[in-house]
Amino acid sequence: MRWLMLLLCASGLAFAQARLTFTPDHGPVGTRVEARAAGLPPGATLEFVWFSAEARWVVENALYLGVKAGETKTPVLKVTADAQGQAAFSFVVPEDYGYVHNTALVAGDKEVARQGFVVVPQLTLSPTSGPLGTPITVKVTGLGYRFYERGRHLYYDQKYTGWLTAISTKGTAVATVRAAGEVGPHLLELINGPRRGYLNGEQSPNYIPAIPYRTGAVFTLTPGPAVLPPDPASQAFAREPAPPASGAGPRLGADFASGTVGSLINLLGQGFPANAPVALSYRSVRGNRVGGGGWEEAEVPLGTFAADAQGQLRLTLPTPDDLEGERVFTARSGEVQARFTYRITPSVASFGPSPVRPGGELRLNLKGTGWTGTGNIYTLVLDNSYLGYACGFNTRGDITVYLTAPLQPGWHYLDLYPSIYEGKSDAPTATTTNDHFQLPMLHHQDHPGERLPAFHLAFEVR
Amino acid sequence: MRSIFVWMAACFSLTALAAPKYFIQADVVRGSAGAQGAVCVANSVFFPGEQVVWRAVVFDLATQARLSEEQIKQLGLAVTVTLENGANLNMRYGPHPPDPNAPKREAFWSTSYQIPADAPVGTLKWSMTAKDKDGNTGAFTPIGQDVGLAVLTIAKAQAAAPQAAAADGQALYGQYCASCHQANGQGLAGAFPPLAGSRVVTGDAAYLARVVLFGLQGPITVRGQNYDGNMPAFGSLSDAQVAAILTYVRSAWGNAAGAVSAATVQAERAKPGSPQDNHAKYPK
Repeated sequence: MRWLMLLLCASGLAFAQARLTFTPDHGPVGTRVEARAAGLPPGATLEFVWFSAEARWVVENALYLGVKAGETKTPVLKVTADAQGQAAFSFVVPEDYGYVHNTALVAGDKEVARQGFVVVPQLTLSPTSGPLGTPITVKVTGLGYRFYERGRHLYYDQKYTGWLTAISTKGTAVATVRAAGEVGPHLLELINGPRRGYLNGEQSPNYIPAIPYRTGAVFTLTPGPAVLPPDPASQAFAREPAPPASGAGPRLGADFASGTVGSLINLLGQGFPANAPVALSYRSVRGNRVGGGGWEEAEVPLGTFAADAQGQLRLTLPTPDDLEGERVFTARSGEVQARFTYRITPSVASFGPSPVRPGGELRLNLKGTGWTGTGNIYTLVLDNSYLGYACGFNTRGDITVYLTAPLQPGWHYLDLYPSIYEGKSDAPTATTTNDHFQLPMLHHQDHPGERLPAFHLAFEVR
Repeated sequence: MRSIFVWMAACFSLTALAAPKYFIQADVVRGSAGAQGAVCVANSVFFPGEQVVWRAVVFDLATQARLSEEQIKQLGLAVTVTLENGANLNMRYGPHPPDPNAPKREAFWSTSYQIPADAPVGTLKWSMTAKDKDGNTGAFTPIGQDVGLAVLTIAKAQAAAPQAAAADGQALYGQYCASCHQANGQGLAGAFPPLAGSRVVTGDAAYLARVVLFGLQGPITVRGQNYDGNMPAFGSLSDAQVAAILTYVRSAWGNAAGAVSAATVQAERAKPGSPQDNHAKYPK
């Protein structure tokens, strides 16, 4: 359709008249930039403003809805033009989202000059060598927040590992993967793309030449004893102490406000009728996203217990074998009732055997996994290669996975990451094949919705 | 040829204008003037010197029917693109292609913006409005601008080369240079000068970078042989790619000059240059 353009006439466009230039005009977080401006009002004091965004994941009613970002304009420094209307200053690229940022010199509410700066994503590994199982910290600065800029996919020796995002962390993602494979160099490569690496990004309508679609770094695996992860139990979230139940009326409290399935809760109810029966229950969710029946909230009875002569109820009970999330416990005696909110957190209940014979069966059991569109699955990564995902909604937080052990003897590493199961795509092209679902979120601290732990396991094939 | 707008079908949005009468489907494509990539394809990132083209069709909201040329005239319809900086671009309605004998023709609204070479880079929001002589309106805002999507970005064309490519000057030489200067750097007698043993190649790195970036036209003498050719400019290569090529040719085939940095190339790229200027400054 080249002919079309012959008909079209160029149109004038009024950019601000003063000129603002940067050297360099792109670079990673921390780059020192020399700025020069000309054509400014002589002697004027202006504000140098950095445009960015306040971005956040949006999850409403257990449904993933993408990212929302409101524009921000942050004054960085004041600049005074000389008698010739020129100014020179410098600034350091802040730790912020990557890709294109507008900047401007502003006098009052008037934009005098505008120029963009491209924040380039940067990958660093630490350490860069070590024996099998060495935790490798993968740090990426300058990740974006816009749909096609918000993630980079990590490939370990060309095997898909997962993706890194930094919506809630202003463009900086940190993940830990374990050195896997044979002694020698291993390539860790980040490739841009919405769902997987988009391999011809340079031909994308969104391609910005200053930003490489691929960045890579090498980790050298050295001989030596395998480094093993800590006990899985220690990788669950630490239990949070509960605030004391206060007030004069009926109240319910506990020693902890969170815990993994089976961890003990010492409940203390007060203000109930003396020696009266007290029914205890908690609220959960039942259903799935597969059968078509949807889901609904359900009250789960725990039994009826007797208050003592002082109207107190003292109980020790295990954290229910149920779904991750806030569970509201209710103690009720006639018209008297009190509530207490407790969070069930995910845990690895069992994994093994180790050692396992080549090709033997491994069994993984998780408890307390979630149910929402962002919390109901865990993704599995074996030796930095993505295997698939497992869902625990229909099984009330229980995930049991059977795996075939690799044929190669030695230590192997299984990592479990939170993910986004499904939701409403915010892709600008409105295609569901373009979204970020069921991918291991290696920077799991940036997971939308629930805060969920990652788990790092190991087993020996022998 | 309604299909060209199909991809945008889910992207139109009606703004808060009171009782819109029209809805608009629109897209943005790269125009031919100054194009540094495929033309007439949907595009979001444009380079200075390129042409941004907006295309649109307008529908009657009540009937869902696309307005014909006759209806547009009767309604006195005007369609305008408004950019974030306040600039307005009036669209024109007409058939494309202009050749009345073309096998397929379609009429739609279009306008363009030629990005100046010195335009600031950055994101630029835009919207489109339609208004008839009675004040009835319709509007189009690209989806996602309100949540931070950069629908239109002006970016510098200079490339940060893929790391692997930048490191491999020999491969780049083979791709871009060897067809003329030959893989052995000996050129073709009388047609393409040799790079092996060339004092220009092993001389001033900045000048050599300018030859690659801007080309060279006119008679020269290399190793006692006269050439009168026209070397094209390779300014589309990134600084890192040019640096890798130059580093390679300065160290291959017995040449023994120093490496060339991307910064050197970047500095030379920033200066004006032309094949004629390079010839005028060709080392005597």
